[in-house]
Amino acid sequence: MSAAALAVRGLSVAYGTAVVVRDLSFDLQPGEVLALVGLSGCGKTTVLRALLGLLPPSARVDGRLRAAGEDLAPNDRTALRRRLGHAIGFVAQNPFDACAPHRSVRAHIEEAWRALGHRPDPARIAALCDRLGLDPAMLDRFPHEWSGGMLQRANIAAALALDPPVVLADEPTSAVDADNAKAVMACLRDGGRSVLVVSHDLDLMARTANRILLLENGRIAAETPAGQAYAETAPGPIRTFARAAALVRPPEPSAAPPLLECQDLVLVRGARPLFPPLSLRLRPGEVLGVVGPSGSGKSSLLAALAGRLPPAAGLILRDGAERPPRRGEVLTLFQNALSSMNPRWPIERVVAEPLTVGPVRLARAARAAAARAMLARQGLAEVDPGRRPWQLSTGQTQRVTLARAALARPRLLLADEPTSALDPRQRCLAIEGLARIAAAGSAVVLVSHDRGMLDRVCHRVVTLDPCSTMRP
Amino acid sequence: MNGSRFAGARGWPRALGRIGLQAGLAALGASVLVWAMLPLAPGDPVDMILAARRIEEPTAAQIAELRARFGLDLPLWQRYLHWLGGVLRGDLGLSWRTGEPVAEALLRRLPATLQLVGLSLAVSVVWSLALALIAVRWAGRWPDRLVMAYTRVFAAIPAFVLALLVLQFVVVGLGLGRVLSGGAGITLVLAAVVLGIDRAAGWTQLLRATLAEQMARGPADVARARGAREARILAVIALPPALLPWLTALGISVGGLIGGAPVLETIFTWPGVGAYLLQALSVRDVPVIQAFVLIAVLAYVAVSSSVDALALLIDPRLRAPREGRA
Repeated sequence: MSAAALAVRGLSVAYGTAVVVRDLSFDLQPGEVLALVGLSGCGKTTVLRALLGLLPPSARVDGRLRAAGEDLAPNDRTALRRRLGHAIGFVAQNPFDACAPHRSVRAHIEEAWRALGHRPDPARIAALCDRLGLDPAMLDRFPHEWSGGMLQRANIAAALALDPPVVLADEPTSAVDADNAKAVMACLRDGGRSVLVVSHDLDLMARTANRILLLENGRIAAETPAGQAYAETAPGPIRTFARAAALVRPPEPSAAPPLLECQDLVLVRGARPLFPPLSLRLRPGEVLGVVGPSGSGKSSLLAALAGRLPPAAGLILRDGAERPPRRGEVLTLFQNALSSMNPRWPIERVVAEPLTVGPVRLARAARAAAARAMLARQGLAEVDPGRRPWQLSTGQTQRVTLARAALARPRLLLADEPTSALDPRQRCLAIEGLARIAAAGSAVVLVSHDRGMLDRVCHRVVTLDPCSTMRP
Repeated sequence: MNGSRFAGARGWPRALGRIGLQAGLAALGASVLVWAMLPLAPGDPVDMILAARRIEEPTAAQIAELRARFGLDLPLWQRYLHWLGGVLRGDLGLSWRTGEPVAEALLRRLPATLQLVGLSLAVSVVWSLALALIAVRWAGRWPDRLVMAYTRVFAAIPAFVLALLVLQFVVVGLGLGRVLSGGAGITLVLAAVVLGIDRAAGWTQLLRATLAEQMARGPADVARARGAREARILAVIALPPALLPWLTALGISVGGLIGGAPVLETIFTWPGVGAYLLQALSVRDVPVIQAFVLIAVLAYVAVSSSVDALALLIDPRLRAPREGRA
């Protein structure tokens, strides 16, 4: 094999007769950031877990692996993990899920040594904090007292503790906001390390990786230098992937009078104002993006717009008057679509539900027909309308709630991170659904921590700057 | 990690204060209910006292004397305060049956019962902890199956049936200990093991399930990817969070442990409060029953407050002030 930092040859993973990864071979060069990109279910996370020996015993793993000058057999999981402790660092997707909640972050970092029976090295920890911009005083605090971006850096510090030449990272930026995502990627490659990163964010990878491998059905479908991922010369599958994830912007709103207006709105948590006084106007058909770091009051703002949270100061005017929202005027879409549906109802009934509260009572058959038409418009025509919500994929459940929202025809639709759990293709479909609802005349407020997406989708974007952040 | 675990000490005093306040209120509320057994019971207490003493044709003077002696001529709230004041001074009233102070009679017998309950609690804590760890360490293999078989069988068998079987086969069959113990140490061990192992079955099932769940979660996976051995992951990463539901269940069933002790004491002829209490129950000797229930309730409150405090020690998130990150 070559002098690669990590060489994978003929890696296959199967569960019974279902083959998830087929005969995969690639090299990770020293100092290279290699991105494994693909849609949900393409096998990219399975590849990573196979390399770390984390797949369950029911998975059949074949192939060879060479790391840190050692030949390893990925099918002997226990032996593999013991050898990898020094050779490969691992950064998990969600920093809060990676840390044991009952142990301080310092203990989490020190575990790198203790797991292998060594004594922790305080000088190395201090050096890592310095490099990664971590406050050493915070280390004795517990994970729940940290912000997501900072905790992900601490996880990187933990992965780098034993100075492994290779780091594997599973969607390391998906739980942090856009500003922190770039910082996290910079921390990962710090010092010329080799990084294998799994992601569905082609955009971020094109900016931060060296090389991109596109996975489809457990095979490498295409390979490109990261800088040329969006070029005309990029391989066909990569261009298709990029197009599938391309986001549409709804048509410009009409010049109708604003249906909602905020004047110097102030919201508080405890006694602390969340953001400086905020003024905004929303016209029918307008899509307004709201972006801000975790804890900046995005969800509180939605609650105030929905009339659930009284403002501490300032005015919220609806149709120019200060009044609470009428029934059915405001509708909220949630990040976790599944939890907003009755699990015992078929999706047809979930979608038709708004038709049961209006002034006109439609017959059951008419309601079902309307629901089916709406499901079809959300690209769910081939899904059996008698299925229950939990039988659908995450992306499909979010589009079911969009179909329901489209039937409800609220004047104001509030969407709280509706796409954060979706892969690029599903996100694109969900955004199309939102755009359709806006084009039909609803005003949409779209909250996200993905600034790039908001810039492409929304007519205007409001940034919430926290008045003061208690956490770094 | 030693030392650093206690670094986030900011929420401690308030959280501990809350637990103490809750415990105090619970104890006070329970004392009202326990005391109310007497005025709520049907019939005139004096008749019950006379019945307990088997005096069939009392004179008017005897009745008046009893009424004054037991404070039954006072209004209810005075009787409660009077009773509460007595309890706080360690005076649990006079037995209706014998006329002797209940506190003295109970104190003579209580240490033996506490020995039994304490030892059986220790047995079941160690037993269920060990079995659950073994089951999860070798999940799906024969140690796990064996443990699960034990928990299913013993969760279904009442402790007294097990006790009778042990008497039959261990004491009579093997000649270990005596059927009429008179307080021999070997009997204490037998009774504690029976009570403990029977009680531990459900706890083992619970702890095994939560441990297995923790072993499949993110922190355990991250530790695996860093080369940690399964045994270390089990002890350091998975066990502390898994202990929380187990501790809660443990605290709840301590009440049953105390309530169940008299039956076993009778079977093993252990000189605890059991026989005394059964006698008191048979003649409705209310002050004795009151005193026993009060002690059981206070022990329960003490144990569940300790469990809450232990939970604070294990999970720093519980120490945090109520507001905080969503």
